[in-house]
Amino acid sequence: MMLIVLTITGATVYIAENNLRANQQRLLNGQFQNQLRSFLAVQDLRSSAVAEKCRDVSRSVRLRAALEEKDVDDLYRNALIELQGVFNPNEPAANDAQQSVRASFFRFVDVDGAVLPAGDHPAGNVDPHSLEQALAPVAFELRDIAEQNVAFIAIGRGNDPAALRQIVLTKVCGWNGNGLGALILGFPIKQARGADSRGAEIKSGIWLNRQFYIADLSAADRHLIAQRIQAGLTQAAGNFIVDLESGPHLLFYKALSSQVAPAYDVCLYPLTASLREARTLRWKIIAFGVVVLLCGFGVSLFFAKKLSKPVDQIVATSAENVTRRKQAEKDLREVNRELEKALVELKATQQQVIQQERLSALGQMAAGIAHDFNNTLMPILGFADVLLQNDAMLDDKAETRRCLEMLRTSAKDASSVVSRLREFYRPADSDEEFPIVDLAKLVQQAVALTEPKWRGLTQARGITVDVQTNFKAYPIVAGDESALREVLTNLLFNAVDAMPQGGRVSVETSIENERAVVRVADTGTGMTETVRRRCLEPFFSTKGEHGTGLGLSMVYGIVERHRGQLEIKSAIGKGTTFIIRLPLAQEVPAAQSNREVAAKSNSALNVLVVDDEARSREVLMAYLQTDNHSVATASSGREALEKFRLRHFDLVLMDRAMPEMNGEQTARFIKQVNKNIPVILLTGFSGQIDADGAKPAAVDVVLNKPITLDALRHTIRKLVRAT
Amino acid sequence: MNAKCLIPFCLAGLTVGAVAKDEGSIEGTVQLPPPAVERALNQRYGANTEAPLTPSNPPAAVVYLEGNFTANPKTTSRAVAQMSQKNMLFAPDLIAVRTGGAVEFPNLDDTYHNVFSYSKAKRFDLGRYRKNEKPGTVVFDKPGVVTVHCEIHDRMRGTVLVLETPYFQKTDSTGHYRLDHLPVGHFTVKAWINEANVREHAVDLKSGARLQLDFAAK
Repeated sequence: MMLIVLTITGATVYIAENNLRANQQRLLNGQFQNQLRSFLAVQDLRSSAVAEKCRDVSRSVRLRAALEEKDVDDLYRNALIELQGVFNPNEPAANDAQQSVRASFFRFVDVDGAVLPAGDHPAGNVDPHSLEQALAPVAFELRDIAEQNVAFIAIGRGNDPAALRQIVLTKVCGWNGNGLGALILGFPIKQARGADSRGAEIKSGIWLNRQFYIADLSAADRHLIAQRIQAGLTQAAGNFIVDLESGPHLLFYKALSSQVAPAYDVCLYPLTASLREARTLRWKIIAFGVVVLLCGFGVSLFFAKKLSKPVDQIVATSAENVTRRKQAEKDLREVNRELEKALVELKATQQQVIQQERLSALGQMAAGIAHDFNNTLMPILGFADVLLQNDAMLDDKAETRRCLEMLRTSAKDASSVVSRLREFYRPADSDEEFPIVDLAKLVQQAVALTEPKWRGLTQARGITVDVQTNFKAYPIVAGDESALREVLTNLLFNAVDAMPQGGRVSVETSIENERAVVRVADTGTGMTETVRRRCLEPFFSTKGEHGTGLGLSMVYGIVERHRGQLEIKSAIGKGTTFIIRLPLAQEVPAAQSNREVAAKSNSALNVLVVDDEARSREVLMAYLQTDNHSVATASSGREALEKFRLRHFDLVLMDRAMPEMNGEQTARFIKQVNKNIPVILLTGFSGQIDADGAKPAAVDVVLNKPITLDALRHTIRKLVRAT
Repeated sequence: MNAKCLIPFCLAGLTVGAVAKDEGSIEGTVQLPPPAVERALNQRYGANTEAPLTPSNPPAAVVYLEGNFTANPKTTSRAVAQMSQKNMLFAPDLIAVRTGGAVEFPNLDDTYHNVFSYSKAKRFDLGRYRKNEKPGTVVFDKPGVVTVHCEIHDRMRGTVLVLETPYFQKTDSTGHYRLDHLPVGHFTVKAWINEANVREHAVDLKSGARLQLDFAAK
């Protein structure tokens, strides 16, 4: 007993801690990747903007001539003119984005790697000696190096990243192609800084050439980290936990492109808070286990004491002894039961941990969405940046309009990503009760809904898309009408999208092997085997920027929710067929279509219709009387109960929302009188029932208003047969 | 001028004639490097690539006499030398002038040119000019090698060799030259092909001497 409790407590502690740690690691890794991305984005922006400019500058005849003549004065004077926009000593950078593409210094080196002094020209501050030293590995082979090199170098003392520069080294060649020297532009390094979700400060720095450059960190810590990274140099990226003076930190590193010495971007995340959290959780679970053990111990001790008293007397009479023992055994079983109850509670705690895991899965999905969302944000930011930074473009109305249109389209895409999610996050509920729907009717609706798309294409692009429906049978299924319609419209859209040259979409309903079947077939481009296998994955899309990748995964989700199956057949160049199989709503023989389900097959029933609205009562009465049922009506729950006590009914049909006593309450009373009587509850807002949980216990079937005669017949048949 | 080429084996063609004339002359051939391989026009100036591609300037050298001339005759002819721009090249791409000599740089192309030099011997910048615009002449007042560029066309490169001596001549494309009306005395004859390739021979000129002097490749 004690062992079991101990084992479970131990296992729970283990699982909880592991989960917590894994989640934390994943979260921080995501954060690091984001930070790195923004860091690299700055570099990319810089390299694309600066690289071409440098190449142009290096081809300037005047610079070549000056370098050839070793005329330093001419060299820097001309370079200052050529480098406008990349380096401007007089104008301080206005904002961060500008700062990142503005060099802080530039210098020329001759073919032997010696830095040519800038003299009185304002070429930015850099100590020529330390620059020469930093460049030594490159300049040494200046004749052989590539046209352009990017590298990180340290130009100052100290361990602040401010001492580092990213340099772009562009070789300058003479008229005959021989190297004359090189132009070096130095850029300050700007790292994104931030705080983690708990508000603790994230530190970031650069590891370069055995040294770790970071602000606000003690020498010992720096040394420790520098050594740890040095040890793992063979890897381009990695992470480990490092014990610093201020507590344990999780460290991520990733190699940066640098042609001189290896450089790594490094981020440090403090772990103190999360470790504390893990410790608290561990103690909570252990304390719970201890409490459970003590309770069990106490209870058994109590009973043992209570028993031990009479035991002395029992010695005399063994018969009594036996009964007492039996009593004791019974009590012990009681204690056991108590302990089992505690065990159940413990398991509930475990369940909570699992729930946490689910939440993290949700987080993962959110990250995926964030990715999609970021993709749509990228052009928004990009075009906004381009417009804001380029006055000439802003003045050009047509260009501005084009950018704005792209902004709008991207924003629309972003909003559609979000709206698609609604269907996606609905959990699969195995107990879900669906109203009855006519699949053929849904197909007709879906075809009509999508008509603007395929009909519109005919006119807009001069291609013909023909949609044909073929109802081999009219299957009735239990299902969420709007969700199933969404499935069909999605498949139709996909089919139309798959036929850029036009073609035929055929939608067919049938009943096969006692299952309702819908086939949506197109004559489009078809899918490769890989695409076919992956097309149901969320966020997988072949439509590029036009698809969210959620359509088919949602289709799959909805079909699963209906306990159905989705089959995809596809041949390249011939087309794709989606086959949806859903369970039939009732046990109709396969050959029999719903039109033949006539009322006559039912024996006439006594039905009580309860609804506070007279018109609803009349409609229901008319429905039921067409099928020869005899109908009694009641306008309130109270009246219904009175009638019910006086007469025998086979079935009760009841509105949900009624004054005084609502449908559910009435149903409960009715069931108390006769628990075998079937009760159908009519509701105008099934959503609320779903949200509260399952259908009310006293109700057999919930039907959504408005209700069709067919649906009512099916439900009644099903219920009567069942009873 | 760091070429040390006083090695006698290249004096093979040195002969001394005996013609009764006061003034000596030297004649001979400079073995020239092979013509430069035709380079395509720089793609950056795509618009100009319709100009016909001609072979670049044939190789040539300048041969001149160096030493102390007792009777230093001032060249009376103040003819202005020309280095024109044609088909995106300097034509010719090598000229020699005497210190104080003037050079014109006319543009014969249908595009702009901007001739300038950063050389120590002569810094100048003519700015941008078109055909029929007169950019003015440049007077070269210090001896030395002046490398001439066009700011717009990076493969254009010309050399103006500014010499103190009045006795110089540019070879023809086969490398042949002839220096006439030379004074009597001990001099050095130099053949300038490019900055890294200058060959020289010591000569002893007697009255009326006619020397044959060939410059073989190094």
